Amino acid sequence: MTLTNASRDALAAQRPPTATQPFAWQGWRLRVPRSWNAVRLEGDFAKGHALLADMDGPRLGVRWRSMKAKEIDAELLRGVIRAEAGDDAARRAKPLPDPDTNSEVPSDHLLYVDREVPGRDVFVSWMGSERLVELVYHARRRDDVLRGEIIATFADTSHANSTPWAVLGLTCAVPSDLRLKSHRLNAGDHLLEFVDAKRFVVVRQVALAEMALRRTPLAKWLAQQKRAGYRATGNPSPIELTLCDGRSISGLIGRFRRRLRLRSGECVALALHDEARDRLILIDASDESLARVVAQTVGCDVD
Amino acid sequence: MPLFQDKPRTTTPAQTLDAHPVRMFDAEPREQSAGQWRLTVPYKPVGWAARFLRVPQDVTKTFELDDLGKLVWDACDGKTSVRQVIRTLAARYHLNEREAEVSTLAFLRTLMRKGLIGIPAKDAKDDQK
Repeated sequence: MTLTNASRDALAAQRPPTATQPFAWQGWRLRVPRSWNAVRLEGDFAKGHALLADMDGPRLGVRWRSMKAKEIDAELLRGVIRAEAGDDAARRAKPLPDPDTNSEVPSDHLLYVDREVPGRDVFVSWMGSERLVELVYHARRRDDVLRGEIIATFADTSHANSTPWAVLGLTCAVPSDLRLKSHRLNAGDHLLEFVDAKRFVVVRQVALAEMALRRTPLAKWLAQQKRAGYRATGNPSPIELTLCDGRSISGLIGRFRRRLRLRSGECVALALHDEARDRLILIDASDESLARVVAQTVGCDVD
Repeated sequence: MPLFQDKPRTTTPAQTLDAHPVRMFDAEPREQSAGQWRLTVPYKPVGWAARFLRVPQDVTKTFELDDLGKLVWDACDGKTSVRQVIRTLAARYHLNEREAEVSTLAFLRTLMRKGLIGIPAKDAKDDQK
């Protein structure tokens, strides 16, 4: 099917535009302005860092590391700010006012707002998942983005049944026991691979679907998902899924079995066309229920 | 470090985004099929080929463009900045700006390498400042 620019715009108009977009990674989530996107992602659940930038340069750095609750005290939080912004910043850092009493209560977080712009504001917080997270906001002018958008939406999501992931327009929710094994984020082709002891799921999103399908039909995209050492069992069959946001998308499902029977193993692959977003969604999973559960969340708002 | 090597030009990302690329040929892409465009330009040998090959004047070379390529080619009018091209591409195809930036800059570099577009001298001087 060929979409004109007008019909593409009409389809996209079904989704309300927002000034911010979600960014969820390794069990934490926040919202950032739409022009900010991840340019560097390193580390794992226990320790790592992310850098978000717009076209003019870095905007937000996020660092996280595992830390026990008993290790957390105000001096440690001030030490983190000292290391980032210096002694004066550590002295001037304050906890956020309690919204109920409107008074500053010492707790598990501290915020330092730079006096001068451009400058760096630093927010340090301990999360329930026993990790210390540091947000470094590169302030170009004095605005309310850090406090009003980023900190207000910053949340630990690792205790939920499913962990949200949102990066560069790829959003999905994956059962919490699956950890991110690898990621590949090329322009127009994003892939996240999750594993646990027995299961795996690979989520891939290709843009722009209409253009991609013009070159390669959906059945061929599905065939390309065949893992090494597996063979297809039967022909691909059509599938229709209702996404978390109520939209319906269709595509193909294929089943594969390990070529050598030394180890039992089956996997399933989905190739779906999300017409409203003009994205191709390719899911590869160890079982069909996992593939369906994850596929239903791709492209939905992870909040 | 090799001798006689030109000092590499340092252009900041901001200067790149503010540049106004311009087409080197006044050629209009022709639509071959839905979403496929063909751009034909005169072939001008460069480098060693220009010295050793005698190329007839009417030889042309053809490039295939998709919708995105056509959009970028059309925007190389010397008035539209790279930043505007990226924003237009992101808005038209609902890409995030990072995706649009990476793919647009890569495509513009390819066009420059092929000698299809250039940066006006004014922008180049601004770049060197």
